[in-house]
Amino acid sequence: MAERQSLLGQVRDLLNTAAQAYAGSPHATSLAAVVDRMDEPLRVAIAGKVKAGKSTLLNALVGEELAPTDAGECTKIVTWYRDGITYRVTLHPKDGSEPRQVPFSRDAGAIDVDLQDTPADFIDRLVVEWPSSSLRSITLIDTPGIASLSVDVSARAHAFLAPGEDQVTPADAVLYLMRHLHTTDISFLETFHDQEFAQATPVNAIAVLSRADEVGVGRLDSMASAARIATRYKADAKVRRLCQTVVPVAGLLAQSGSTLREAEFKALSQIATAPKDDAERLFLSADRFVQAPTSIALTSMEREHLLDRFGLFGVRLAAALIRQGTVTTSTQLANELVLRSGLIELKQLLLSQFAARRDVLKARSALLALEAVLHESPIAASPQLASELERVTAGAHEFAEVRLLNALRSGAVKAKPAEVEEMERLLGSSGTASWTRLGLEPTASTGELRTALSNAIGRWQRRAENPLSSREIADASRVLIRTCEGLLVDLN
Amino acid sequence: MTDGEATGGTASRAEAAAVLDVAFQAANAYQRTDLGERLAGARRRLDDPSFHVLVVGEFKQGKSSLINALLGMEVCPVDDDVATAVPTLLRFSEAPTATVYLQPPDDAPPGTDPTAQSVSVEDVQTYVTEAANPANERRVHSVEIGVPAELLRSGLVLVDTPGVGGLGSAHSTITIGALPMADAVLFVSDAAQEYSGPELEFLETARSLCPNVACAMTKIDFYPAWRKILELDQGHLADAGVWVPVLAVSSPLRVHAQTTSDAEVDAESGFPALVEHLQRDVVGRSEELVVRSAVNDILAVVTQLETQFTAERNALADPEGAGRLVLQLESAKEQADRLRSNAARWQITLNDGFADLSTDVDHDLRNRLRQLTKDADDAVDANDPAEAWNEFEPWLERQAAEQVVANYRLLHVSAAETAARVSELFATDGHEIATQLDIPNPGDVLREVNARVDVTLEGGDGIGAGMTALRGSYGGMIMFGMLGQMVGLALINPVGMVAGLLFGGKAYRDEKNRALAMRRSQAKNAHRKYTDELAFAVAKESRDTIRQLQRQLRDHFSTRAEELHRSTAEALLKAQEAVATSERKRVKRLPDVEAELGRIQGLRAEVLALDPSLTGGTGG
Repeated sequence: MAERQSLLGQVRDLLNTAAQAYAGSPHATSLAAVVDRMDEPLRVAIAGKVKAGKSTLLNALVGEELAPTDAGECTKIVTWYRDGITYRVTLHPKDGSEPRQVPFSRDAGAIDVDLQDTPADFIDRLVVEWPSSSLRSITLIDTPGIASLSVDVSARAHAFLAPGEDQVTPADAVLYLMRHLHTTDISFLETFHDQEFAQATPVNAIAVLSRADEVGVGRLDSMASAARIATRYKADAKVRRLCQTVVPVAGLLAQSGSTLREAEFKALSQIATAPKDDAERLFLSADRFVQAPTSIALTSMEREHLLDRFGLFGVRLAAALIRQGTVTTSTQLANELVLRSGLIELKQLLLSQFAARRDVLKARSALLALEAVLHESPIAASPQLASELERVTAGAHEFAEVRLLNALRSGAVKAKPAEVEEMERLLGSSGTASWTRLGLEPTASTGELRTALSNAIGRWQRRAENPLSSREIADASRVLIRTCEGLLVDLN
Repeated sequence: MTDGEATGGTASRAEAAAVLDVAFQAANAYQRTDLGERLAGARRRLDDPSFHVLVVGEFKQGKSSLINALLGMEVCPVDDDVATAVPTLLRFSEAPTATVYLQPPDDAPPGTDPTAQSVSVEDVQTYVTEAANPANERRVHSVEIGVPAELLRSGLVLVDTPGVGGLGSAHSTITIGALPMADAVLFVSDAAQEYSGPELEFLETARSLCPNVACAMTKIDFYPAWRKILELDQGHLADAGVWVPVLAVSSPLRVHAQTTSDAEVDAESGFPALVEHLQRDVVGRSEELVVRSAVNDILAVVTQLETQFTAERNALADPEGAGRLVLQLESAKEQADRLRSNAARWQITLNDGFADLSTDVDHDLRNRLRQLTKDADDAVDANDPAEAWNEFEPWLERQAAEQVVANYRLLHVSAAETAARVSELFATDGHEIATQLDIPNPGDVLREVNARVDVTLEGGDGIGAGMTALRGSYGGMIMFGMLGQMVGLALINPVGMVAGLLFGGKAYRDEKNRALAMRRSQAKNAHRKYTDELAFAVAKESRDTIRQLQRQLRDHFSTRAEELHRSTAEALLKAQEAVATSERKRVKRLPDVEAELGRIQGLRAEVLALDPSLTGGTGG
């Protein structure tokens, strides 16, 4: 394998050849753009139904309140947030004319873009450049809600995430937010998954059970409940074939935790140290929290601000943490809130599942783009390019792994549940590090890893050669053997 | 408001029952047990009315919590995860009871009624929750729980439905099918967000199928911005032209208020307004219909009793004209005879009408399912079933459910039309007899017939008493029954052939194409089998329904014809006797008859007082 060119290298060469073949046509530029895109950070779209908490989660991931959030439906235009040298917002019109810079102001942190009377229908996207370490490896894309009452808004989200046949999804991966699983959720995830690469699907999507704090309507054990529900969804066959995993995240908690201010900590401490009865009376309802007369020295406005930022669950949780002495400083509280919100777990997943697979995802997006061009305007060199494309697609072990993972997820490969779990783990479904793939501890020594790998190779070898193994199992075993061999090479 | 009190001017059920009892005694005293039986039936409906309120909404909106808070006790299981899995009926009972209805086994003939099974109230959880009964593996059809809750005493029945899981799903289509059967609908959504597109669509449909729809916005204790959401929702409803009230409520606040007896918190919970809505707009309005229907029954009975005494009085008072009276009564009796014979116009119309109806409904169903099969074939041809089957399956179920519901509505509408035609014919022919009987207001005998069958399907306030009567004949909730059958028909997964899925190379292309063709033919067989079984089950169900409806209408009008016949016969007999008696006896008998007549007329006045809307048109 070492002597063979990397997948990304192969794809880049292929695209360059194609760009030369198409020289002089507009496709040459778009293919060159595809090559450039391969070097850019991974693009992750945040999608979901209306009010699933997409903007809130985006803010939490960035660690700044950038995207405006509101009780009513809020995000109406596809907005990209990417790392940049300066603070800048660019408007990309739909008609393909030159993108132009637009002025913006900040309203309590959130970016308020002045569209200069451009109707939303004419805007393809807004690109916000924002110097931020969180955006260095990933470009985040905020999308309007699906199943919005405004058909236009909903259609804009669909056009972006699931464009027509000869277009390419602008995102490499997607975080799909849902409050609870709905039929519209399922059909949406399905449209996101394109035709030719349908096999590659569970690789590029993670489902997020957002607004997890609301699952138990604000009870302190809400997050545990949410985790239980996420586990159930994870086991659902429909969900399994559509996304890698399901994680619960309390978006509001994550956002406020990562942007906690000292004054807020003081106010929360006041509630925590107040007599229990006084606090309980406040927690009875959101209205009472703001309006009820109380001995706690916080004005209605201050209390309303707290509620706005943390939600009833957040305030209750923060007060309990301070009262029990679990946290004593604002930094500790911030960390604890972020930890409990599930944001850290999500960030790790982004890192292990998306960032670590960046090459496959990028190569996949690029090949899709090339395929679309070949399909749309065939030229003399097209058949040759197409067969080359097929060679890369079929030959790359990375894609074979992806296809096997999908086959496992869709139930196309019949095996015992324990065996399926082992296969999925080897393919990196719970993390791409060698020890996770082998189901060992992080402390496992190189020797231990090597032994485990040789054992696995032997086992799958026998499985592949066993005349009683079905054809799918035999094929799957051969893919797994190559995966193990690759890991072994990496160890050396 | 107490349960005996009704709004809109009609008397309470208790008052109507008191008058009814007097009329019942009178009917028996005059040896008219047939009329007595009719009153006994009316009395039963007065005593034990049921007003079904469907509580619907997407899942996790707090439907079960809302019901628990309304009843003031933990009846419906509540969970952070999806809790309610089967429809649960909650009705009043002095002591807690629970009955589980289980679906008949697969090999039972379709249309077999679910089997009832008494269980302890504690065990109900193991049947209705998603956790204890995942994907309804225990094959529960529905659950009925008797609850000693004051709110239900007036006959209110709350139906807790499983969350419709995406309002475009097959389940929600079935819920829509159940809407015309409900007296009212309570649509539940939480204050987390404004109405989504599908939710608003559902509300529009609900409003067109059920006259009494209200929305409850739950969890206002938890979402600070609920006022804004409420405003947005009301705006959306107004834009869509759906005029239904939205009530903001909080179940935890209600529970807190009840445990601490805190009236202020109770008011904040929004529940007093919700309870008032249920009592005034749901129970009140439905109760009015029940009372009105009972008043019509009493009035008809009283009028018929009056007939025989009027005939006797007239014959006694005017011996010269008695001969003419007897002749007139003889001809009336002949007509009444015809009215109860099989050759009566209403009988013929009823038989022909329902025979046509049966054919029409069957044809319509076949047509719809044939089109569906064609669409499904096209869909299979356009995709690879291995990839699209998971999508295809719910699509097919949804489409099938839509077609079945449309077919069912055709049945409903046509049946109502036929019933109306029959009733009209009966009224015309009956009216002729009544005029000959020389009774003060012939319409009284027959008017109830019109009220009983005047079924208004499409919204408005006019769901007549007839609906209440007909509703019972559907054997509860037919549509929920269909839901069970449809879910029971698991589709066969055609993704058996997967060779080639793992490979991408050209060498496998041919092999791939062969496999694809095979998968497609498997998929087509699978969906054909599904529609076939569905057609069989639904056709049987509608035939049964039609037969039941026809039988019920026939019995209803036959009984009325018998009564009319007997009244004319009695009147004739009395008149003949009067002619035959001596002068001395006549003079002695006349004051007695006058007195009886006076009593009956007194009773009639009492009956009319029960429903002020009647006094305008009595004229006597």
